[in-house]
Formats: sequence, C-alpha cells, structure tokens
Amino acid sequence: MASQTDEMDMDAGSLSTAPREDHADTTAADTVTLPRLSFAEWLRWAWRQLTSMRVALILLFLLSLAAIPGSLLPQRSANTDATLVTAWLAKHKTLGPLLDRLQFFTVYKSVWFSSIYLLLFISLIGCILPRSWQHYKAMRKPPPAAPRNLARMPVHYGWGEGAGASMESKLDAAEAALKKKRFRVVRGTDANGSGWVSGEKGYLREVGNLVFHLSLVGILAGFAIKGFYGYQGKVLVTEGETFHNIGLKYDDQDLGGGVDVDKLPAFSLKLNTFTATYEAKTSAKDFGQPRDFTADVTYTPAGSTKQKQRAVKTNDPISINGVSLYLISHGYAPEITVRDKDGKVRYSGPVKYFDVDSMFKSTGMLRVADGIKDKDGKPTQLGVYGTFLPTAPDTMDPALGPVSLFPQAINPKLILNVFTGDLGPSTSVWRFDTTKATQQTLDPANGRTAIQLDTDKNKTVQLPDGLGSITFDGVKQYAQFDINHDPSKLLVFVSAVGIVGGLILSLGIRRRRVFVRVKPAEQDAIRVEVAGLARAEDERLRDEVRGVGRSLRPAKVGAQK
Amino acid sequence: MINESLARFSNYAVYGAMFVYFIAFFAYTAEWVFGRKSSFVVAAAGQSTAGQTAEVPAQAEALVAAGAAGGAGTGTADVVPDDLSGLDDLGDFDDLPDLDDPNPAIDGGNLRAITAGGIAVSTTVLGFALHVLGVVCRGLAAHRVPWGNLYEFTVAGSAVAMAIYVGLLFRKNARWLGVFVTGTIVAILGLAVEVLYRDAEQLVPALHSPWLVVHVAAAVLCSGAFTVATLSTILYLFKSRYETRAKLGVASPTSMWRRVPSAMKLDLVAYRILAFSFPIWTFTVIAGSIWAERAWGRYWGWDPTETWAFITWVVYAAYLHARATRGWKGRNASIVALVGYGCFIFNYFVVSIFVNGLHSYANVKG
Ligand code: HEM
Repeated sequence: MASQTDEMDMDAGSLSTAPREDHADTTAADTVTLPRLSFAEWLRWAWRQLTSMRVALILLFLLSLAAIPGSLLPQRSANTDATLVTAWLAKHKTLGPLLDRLQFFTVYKSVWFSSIYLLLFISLIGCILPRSWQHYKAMRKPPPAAPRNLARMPVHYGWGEGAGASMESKLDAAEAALKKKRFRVVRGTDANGSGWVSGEKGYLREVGNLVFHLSLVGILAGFAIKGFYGYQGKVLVTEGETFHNIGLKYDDQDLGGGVDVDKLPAFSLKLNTFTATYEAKTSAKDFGQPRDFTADVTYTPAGSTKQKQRAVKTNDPISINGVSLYLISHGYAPEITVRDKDGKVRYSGPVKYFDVDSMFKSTGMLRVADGIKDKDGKPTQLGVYGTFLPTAPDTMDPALGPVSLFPQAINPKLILNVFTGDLGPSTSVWRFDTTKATQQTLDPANGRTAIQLDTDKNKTVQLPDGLGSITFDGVKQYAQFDINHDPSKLLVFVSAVGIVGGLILSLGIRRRRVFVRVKPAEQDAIRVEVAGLARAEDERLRDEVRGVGRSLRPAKVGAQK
Repeated sequence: MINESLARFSNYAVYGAMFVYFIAFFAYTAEWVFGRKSSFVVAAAGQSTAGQTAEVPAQAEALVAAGAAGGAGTGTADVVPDDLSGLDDLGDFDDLPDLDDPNPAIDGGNLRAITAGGIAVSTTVLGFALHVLGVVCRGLAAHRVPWGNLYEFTVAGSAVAMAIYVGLLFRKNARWLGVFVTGTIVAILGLAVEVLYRDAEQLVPALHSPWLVVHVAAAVLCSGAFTVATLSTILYLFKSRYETRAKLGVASPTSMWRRVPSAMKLDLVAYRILAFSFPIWTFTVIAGSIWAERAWGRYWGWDPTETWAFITWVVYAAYLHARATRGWKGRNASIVALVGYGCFIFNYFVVSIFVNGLHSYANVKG
C-alpha cells in the first residue's frame, strides 16, 4: 500500500504541491546537530525550515494564538473605547502595567504579533513561488508511463478476451474513453509487446491550491499596506457645520507610519440635516428602536469647486478623494447661549451631548471661562452640565428622575446644573471637574439646584448672584462619521476572491491517474487491465476505473442482464 | 409590521419540532437497546455450538439475515475480485461490493428494534418539517430572513444540521447517527428557546444589508455542517478506540460500537463535511468583512467576533493540512477538528454574548 503511494509521490513530486517536507525535514534535521555549519549553510537551512509547510502551520497557529489576548483584553484603537483600557489598568495595578509594557493593549500592532505575521508572509512566499513555477513546468509535461505491474494499484480490474480482439483497437478505445473523461493521455508500447495508455486529470486542483496560497500572500500584503499607508479617525459634525479635512481634526485617530499628515486630501463636507426614524408604534415590542439614519450632506472634493449633495446612510458610505466617510452614530446638540450680567453673549452655539440610554437621554458639558464674574466681581469659570431629554413626559415623576420617552426630539427639555469656581485644569471646553466647584441653585422657588428648560416659554434661566443667564435656543443633531483611508481594499478583495475560488478547486477536484494495459495472451487473445491511482483521498476513484472498464469490455454475447 | 400570530405560530412549530425530535431520540435509543439484545443473542448462538436447541436464538439469527439483507455480512464479502473474466456482463461492475465495510445494522434484526427504527425515522422527518416551518414562519412574520439574532441563528443552524442528517439518511444508511443528532439538536433547541429567545423584531439599521443575508446564511450553513462533522468526529474517536480494543481482543462483543460504521468511514464522513464547509466558512468570513467594510468603514478591525472567526478558520485549515500530511491523519487531525468546533462555539456563545464588540448581533440580554 505504502509503496504505491510512494511511487505516486515520487513521480508526482515534481508536479504537485504535496506536503513532502517529511523527508526534507528529517534530512535537514540530521544536519542541524552539526555545529560546524558554515554561515551560508546555516542560512540555507534556516530558509528551508522557514519555508516548510510545518513551520508555516506553526506560524499560522501562533498567529491565531497571538490574536486571542486582543479579543479578551480591551484595546487601544480607533474603533474601540479607549477608556476601557484606562479602567482596566486602574483595576489591575500589578498585572496591568506589565501587560501594557508587553503591548497587550495594542496586540495587533505589537512587535510580537507583527513578527509572527511577517515570518508567515516570508514563509508563504518562499514556499509558494517555487512550487508555482514547478507546477507550471509540470503541467506542460505529459503524464508518466503506466507502471509495469498494474495489480499493485489500489484499484485494479482485469479480464481476458477471446479470439478476434485486437490490441490496437483496444488501446484506441482506451485512449478515446480516457479523453472523453477529460484525461490527459499518453500511449506507449513496452519491450515485451504489451501496450499501455496512461491518463491523468485534475491538474486544476494544484492550480487552485496555488491560487489559494498566493491569495493568502495577497491578503497579508494588503494588511501590511493598510497598516502603513492607511489612516482612520472619527469626526462629529453638527447640522449646519462644515468639516474640512485639513491638518488633523479627527477625534480619535489611527495613522499608519507612512501617512503624510500634510498631504491629506483637502475636501470639505457640510452636514445639512440629519434624520433618524424610530419604531413609533407604542404597542410594538421594539418601540423606539432605530429604523433608519440619513445624513444629508454637501461636499466639495479636493481640487474642485463644484459642490455635490448626497444622502449618507448607515450601510451606504460616501467616498471623497479615496477617503470613505461612514455614518456610524449620531446625537443631539442643544443650542445654548450664555450671557454675562450685562447681557453680553459669552457663548452661543450647539453643544454636543452624548446619549446615555436607548431613548437618547443625553448629557453634556460646557465650560465658559471668559467674562463671567462672581458676586464679588471677580472673574470665575462657569460650568454648565446638562441632561437633554428629546421627548420628556409632561410631568416628571420624581421617583424616576429625568426620563425620555422616545428618541426623537418631540418634546425636548434641557435640565441644567451650573457650577462656578475651580473647575479643574482647562483642557477642554467640553469637560470640567466639579469636585472643587460650587453648585448654584437655579430654582430657588422649589428649592432645587437644577432647572428644566424648554424651547418655548421657559427657555431662559437667570443665574443667581448676577452671574448672567443661560438660554436654551433649540436643538440640532450631529452625525458621527468614521473617516477611513485604506489603499489595500482592491488587493484584498481580489485576493479574497482568489482564496474562495482556489479553495473550491483545491478541495473539489481530485487528481487521479487511470492506466490501461493490454497484453498479448495465449491462444490469440488479449488480457486487458484497468487500474487507477489517486493523489489524495479519493472516494470516486473506484467509480472512475469501473467506468473506464465498462466502456472497454463488451457484453458477452448471449449474456442477459 | 411584525405579524404576531405568525410569529407565535413559528414558536409553536419550534416547540413541536423539539417535542417530536425528543420522541425520535427515544425511538433511536430503543432501536439501539433492542438491537443490542438481539446481537447479544446472536453472538451467544454462535458460541453455543452443539446440542443446544434454543429456539429463540435461531429465530433471531433468521431475522438478522432478513433484516440485514441490504448490506450485511461482515468479513469475507468485502474483497473485490480483481479478475473479472468470470463476470458475464460488465454491468455487474456496479454490483461489486464496496470496500466500505458493511456493519451489522443497528437494529440487529430484532423486530422491536426495527419498529423503533421506523418510528425514529418517521418522527425525525416530521420534526424536521416542523423545524423548517418554524424557521420559515419566523421569516414571514418579520418580513426578512429568519436569522436576525442569535435565537433565530441557532434555530436555523440546527435545521441545517438536521437537513444534512436527513439527506444522509435518504442517500445512505445513516441511522447510526440518529440518536446523536436528535439528542444534540433537542439540547440546542432547548438552549435556543430557554436562553437565547427573542421575539420577532425588525432589524436595526446596521443590519440592513444584503451582505447580512449572505454572510449569516453562510454562517448558518457552516454551523449545521460543523455540528454534524463534530458528531462524526467524536464517534470516530470512540470507534477507533473500540477497534484497537477489538484487535487486542478485549472489546465486549455486545458493545454498541460494533454497530457503528468503521472508524475509517466515520473519519471520512467528518472530512468530507469539513472539506465541503471550509470554503463556505472562508466565504462567511469574507462576506462578513465586506459587510463590515460597508457598515463600519473597515473590512477588518480585529473585533472579538472577527478575531474568533479567524481563529476558527485557522484551526480548520490546520485540520485540512493535517489530513493531507501523512503521519498526522486520524486521531491527531480529529482532535484539531474538535478544537476548531470549540472555537466556533466559543465565538458563537461566549464572545457574542459576553465580550463587548461591535457585533451587537446577539441581542440576548435585550
Ligand atoms: C496561511 C495559512 C494556510 C492555509 C489556511 C492553508 C490552507 C490549505 C488548504 C485548505 C489546503 C488543502 C488541503 C487538502 O488538499 O486537503 C492546503 C494544502 C496545502 N498547503 Fe496550505 N495553507 C496555508 C499555508 C500554507 C503554507 C505556508 C504552505 C507552504 C509552506 C502550505 C502548503 C500546502 C501544501 C503543500 C498543501 C497540499 C496540497 C495538496 O494536497 O495537493 N500551506 N493548504
């Protein structure tokens, strides 16, 4: 049994991508033990090891093992919440910093992950390119001659035929039968007078296999290109606002090492209106679930003056100058005006709030540092912390606190809290620290610190101690776009098609050989033998050989079936 | 817009399928048990040679011959004659015995076992019909494909597993798989209705994509195929242990493993299913990344779900390599296949429910 497959391997070796490292490796391993290898020899040995299937597989396994921590630990990246990492670090005081130093929070960019991936890349190239060339050459060669002893093949049938049978016509019939079954055929005669036909088919299996593995190289190359030349970030654009892709104005960003920040395409994009619709039927189980998001934008590509208009939807991104913008999320931005005690406007505009529940109850902060004076006339900072309710109930249930009944802004209310004094270091106008600040009482009539405003009659609150006033002018929405430039997409897509196509050929096609031998036998008769051999497991080989046999052996005269 | 009464009907159908499968499971078990009795009797009859005029064993033996007429007769019959000169007609090629060794039928020729087997098969088919009805009505009720959340995914995936089994059942004798398949599917459906259940709902905008249809459809196919392949792999591991013991002469003659197909065949069933589903799984991952590219702007972001889909892919690729490498076939390769299924299930339940990622698909906690 083993000898047959070996035979197949031996003459098939040059024309297959079969795993034959078993032999190569053992001979190589024997030489390792010798410490007297010259540097060149050592290099050759290392290269042979690296490009063996076994090492490639080990690397592949390592790659998937190395991917695991990234899926279980929080990661710092543009599309995950980076505060999770900070929280994790705060919770694990000893393990955290150690893992951080070992790059466990940026696994997919870590040195160790990248090296595995680079080695696999080299291994694949070193393994596949030579094999592709070999297979190309092998495909141009005819199949090998039929073995002498067909009885040694895994599938074998033979029969004798009586007088009148001619060797030549039998061989012609065999050749025709094999060709009809799309075998590539050679024919020959041996010294002892017996003729043979040898056919092989299933070359596409190896082609598919090579296409598959080459496409893997393509995918790996695509990932490398994406990592180096790609960038991504997020921007929040409020209705009426225009975003300019100049410099770097992204909120979270992730830039490849090869990106030149000064050369980003300078397009601009204005959000005209944002529309969200939600399940409005109160009896529906999914009441309030989002149904559709549309951002109506006007944009101007870099190097053009023509404005264009488009509706961007969740699964329908817009691409400008090779940069894609995806609508990823949205929120409310109450328009707030802060005046000082003289009525002078100190801040006016939309303030982006972030949703805290599925009905879009949202919270946000605003710090006004200039021009606000406390009751003694000393400059102070004013912090406005608000809770926005897109659809507030008519009467608030004190036990529930502020709730929103629906995500759409049908009955918008803004609940304000105001702080003065030390609001912490001023890193951002959208953030402040209340721990050392004083909270002002905005609703002395009811003895409450907070006050609820609407956009109608109660739109303004006068702040105590002559601090000024705050007005709730209206509500705008903002859209969050993921900005993404990825030059590898086409390559990766083509490779992905190659992967699937190659796999289907490689796993669906069987490489097999069928031999027919016709020998002269005693009494003017011939003996016909049919045999088959398959490269890998092949459950249909027997049917194939039987089919050839059936077409060659005529039904006996008078036999009934 | 959800058709509530259809949705309710779908739930009833799923419960009904579960109940009917449960009956099938018992019938398969009964078939095994009764069949075991009879093969025990036959073995005893074979050993007790002279003098014992036991009527019952003889009867049993006769039944074995009758019941197993399809493809029984272990031992010598599976040698294919090389020389066909003796055959009258080459049409007889087709009647040559297969090398796939015929095993004693599960029912062992026992009448009660045969009855139980009949009940098992018919309830399996009935349960499958209800199961499919449940899936279809779910889709009709929600006006979309019936795999929009983990509950629907699980119900549809188990229907695929069942379809593969029913297909095997009609193409060749695969009854030996029945008890394991129905048992597993009842457990999976139980999990689906008890833990994963979600009412029929429309989809959130991120899931509005034709790629959802193909991506999840392919994943559903794979989940069913992987499950059947895994069952076959587990049976293979047991059977190969039994075969080793049989060679050493320490196996029990009444062991149920006698009636399971040969280890080689089990291994081949698993391999064929996996070789068939590996390209589909590859396509699943690719369609998923196209969808991710459409929805989130990047085709690959090492999201936990993506990462585990990749790991599953790698492990199954390693299985195929192991099968293609001499010396790694058999036990080692099949353990790799089990690891692959483990990764798939881990992704399916643990990652999509407990690990935070962009794939808000599970929607279990509501
Ligand atoms: C990146 C990971 C890889 C994957 C997912 C992969 C996948 C596959 C698959 C699915 C097969 C078909 C197995 C079969 O015929 O039953 C295969 C075969 C093969 N692969 Fe890979 N492969 C990978 C890497 C490699 C590398 C790096 C090498 C070479 C060093 C390699 C060499 C081979 C060989 C020689 C075969 C056998 C072809 C045959 O049976 O005719 N593979 N591979």
